[in-house]
Amino acid sequence: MDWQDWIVALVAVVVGVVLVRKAWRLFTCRDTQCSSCSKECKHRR
Amino acid sequence: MRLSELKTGETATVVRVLGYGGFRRRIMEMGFVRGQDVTVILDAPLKDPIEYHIMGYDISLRRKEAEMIEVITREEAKRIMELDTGIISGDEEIITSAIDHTRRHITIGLVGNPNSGKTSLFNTLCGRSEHVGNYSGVTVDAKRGTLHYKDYTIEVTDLPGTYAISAYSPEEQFVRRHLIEHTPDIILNTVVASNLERNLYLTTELIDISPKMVIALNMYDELERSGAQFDHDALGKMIGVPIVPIVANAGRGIDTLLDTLIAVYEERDSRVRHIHISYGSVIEENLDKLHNDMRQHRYELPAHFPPRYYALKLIEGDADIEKILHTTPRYDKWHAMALDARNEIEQALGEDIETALANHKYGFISGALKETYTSAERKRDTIGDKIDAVVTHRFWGFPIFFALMWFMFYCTFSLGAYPQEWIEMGVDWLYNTVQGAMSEGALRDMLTDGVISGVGSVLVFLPNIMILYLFISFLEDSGYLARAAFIMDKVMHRMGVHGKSFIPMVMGFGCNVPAVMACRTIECHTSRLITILMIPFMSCSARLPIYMMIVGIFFPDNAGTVLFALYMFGMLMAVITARLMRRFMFREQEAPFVMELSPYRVPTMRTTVKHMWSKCAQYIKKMGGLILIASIVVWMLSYYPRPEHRNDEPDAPTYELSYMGYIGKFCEPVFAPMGLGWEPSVAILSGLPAKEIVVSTMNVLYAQPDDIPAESDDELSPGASERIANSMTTASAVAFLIFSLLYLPCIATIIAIGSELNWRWALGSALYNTAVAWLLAWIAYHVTNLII
Repeated sequence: MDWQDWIVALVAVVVGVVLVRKAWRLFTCRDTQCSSCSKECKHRR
Repeated sequence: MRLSELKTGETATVVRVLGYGGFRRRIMEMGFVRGQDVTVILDAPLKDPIEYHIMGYDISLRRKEAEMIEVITREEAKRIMELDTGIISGDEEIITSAIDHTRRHITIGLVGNPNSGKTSLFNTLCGRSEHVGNYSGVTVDAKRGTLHYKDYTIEVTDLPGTYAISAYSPEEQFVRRHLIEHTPDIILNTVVASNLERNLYLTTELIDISPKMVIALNMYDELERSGAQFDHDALGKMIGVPIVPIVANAGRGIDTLLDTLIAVYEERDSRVRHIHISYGSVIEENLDKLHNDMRQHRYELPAHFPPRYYALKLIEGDADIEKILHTTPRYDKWHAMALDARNEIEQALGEDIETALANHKYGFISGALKETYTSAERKRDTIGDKIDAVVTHRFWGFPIFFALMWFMFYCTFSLGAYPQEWIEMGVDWLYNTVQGAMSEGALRDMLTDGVISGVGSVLVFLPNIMILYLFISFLEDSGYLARAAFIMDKVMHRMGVHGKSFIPMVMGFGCNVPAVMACRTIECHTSRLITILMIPFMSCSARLPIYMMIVGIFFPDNAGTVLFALYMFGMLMAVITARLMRRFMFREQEAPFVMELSPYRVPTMRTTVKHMWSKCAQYIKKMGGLILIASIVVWMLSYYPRPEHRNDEPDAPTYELSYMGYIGKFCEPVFAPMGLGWEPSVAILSGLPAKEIVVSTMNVLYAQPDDIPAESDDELSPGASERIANSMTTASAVAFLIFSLLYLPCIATIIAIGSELNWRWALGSALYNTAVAWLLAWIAYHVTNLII
């Protein structure tokens, strides 16, 4: 593996972490406000 | 008495909680409900909070919160029962009887414009002969009277006549002080039937305060005689306030009025609900910042009014409200925020805040009356009225609207083509520079084919989106879009949504993401939900390159007609979706809402551009991060495994044997029934992050190394076009078009739906869209095969 491959691998790890974090927050968040306004989550504010 | 008046160690029973919705709910959730005993544990003078014991728990309440809870002590209960009924029952029952007795005591604040017949009504209700004169300012201070009706004791306070409840005149201050200090159970707002527009202005101020309210539509006989038509019941439902027509001096309608007051007091009247008056995007955006901060620190606010009202009045610079809030810990921050908001609004609108708010209030009234009131003789005085007569005309309204829409789309695509070319050139330059500057390797390919091509293919549509939003902002700020929504209201109601749903749907043609966000303006929850789920069917600008590609190859002679048919088909599916949802999922009748018709104005360049930019920024922000990540993921899936790491066929085409190729082949059976091979399957999958990517993927898949290169990412190379024409039949091309039109728009839209509703709806929407897309594409494939 040359240096470019290493950087791409690092990017892949970062992208993976970002996606997992986003998915985790999207599916586990229960912090909703009320039905009359748009439901907002403190993670997404 | 109020809970705050109790001393340490004293016990009393809760009678009721005063104040507005959110505060009342919270206090009641703590256990302060009718009949519960509450004991003061510690009430140090001038100290806050006070500690109480209720339902086995110790709870701290701020003094101003305790002021909003009405309680009764045993001694007070005995006194009330002795005085009022003369019956002294057992010690246990005395509190229950006294609470029931107190519960049947309704306090009413009579509020109205000067000369609106308030004092007449007061005299008719209470049988007193207060001096009544036909000139302004007869009522100089509050008079109180009592009447008994159907086991209820109704205490009416006749407040001074005012045109508003700001703090400009002593009368206005007096009325507001009374509402704060005495907190009447119900506000009875007298409105003169023959002068609705001016009288309803005060009503809009009272709506903001959000109390329980009933409107007495006085001098109704004059309105009947004039021949005007007024659907007061419809207006009442729209504004969430029951309206009872009366003729105060003749005693007509008084029993109905009293019955309505009791029903509202007992929370039995289904018409009562709290609505927000929309003050237009500029004011709302600025108001939101302060309102959200106040909501987060709502426990610091006095409980008499809702946070939105405090925020609004603080921005307005209301001295009385400033004085009330002065003691709160965050006052300095709120004051600074309010000043910023006021400056921002005044600069953006080019008028002072009072005028801007008054204009929107009159816009609200105008919209409400346009739907419910027909004057006997139509007066067309102002320029606005004259414009309205044309643009909301029964016959001319629609052609004008469609002509404007056509012009908007025409400019979006024709004018947008120039900057689009420049951006394409810039992206190409960057691509070639990076390609030339770096040595061959995975990182270079990721930067060029992944990041630059992927993000560039989305960036290229920014000019179109900016132009579209420039038009939408201009139409919105000028006041026309509200009229367009007004004329579309009937059509939209037939679909099962509200007229306000129309604006986000139009925005959906630009990009579904901000369109989903724009649904926040729809007050009705079911309408908002249905509209959000309709939006993915509105063909966004990202789908256009796909249509252009396929239509150009298979239907070059009828390109315009096919394009038009595709847009129409998308809209038809949106309508069918709305009808189905209204029929099977949300059957309940939605509450009517007022369509605000704010006065026409020439939008300033600054406001329009600022609006446009805020919408584009949302688009870039929401799309930017996601597109970047998605582009990298798609690139990785199509780049790996590298040929040198494959044992079997190192010379085979890279794409076919990449992970993306495997996924495409895995999905091929799904698309095979509509005559699509693995290449279109991969292209469709690659369109998940953004549909523009479908075209560039098709280009990569169908291109050969010796082909003449395509002019841009969104066009095909001549060789690729020929290969697509050979690999697909007309029927499968139709299926591909319909599938591309209907399947889930992009991940960003799904995430936007998730954040506006919840992830279940987002997932549901994605599945529903894709299922409908598959089914209709399959049907289209077979029907086209039969025809051709």
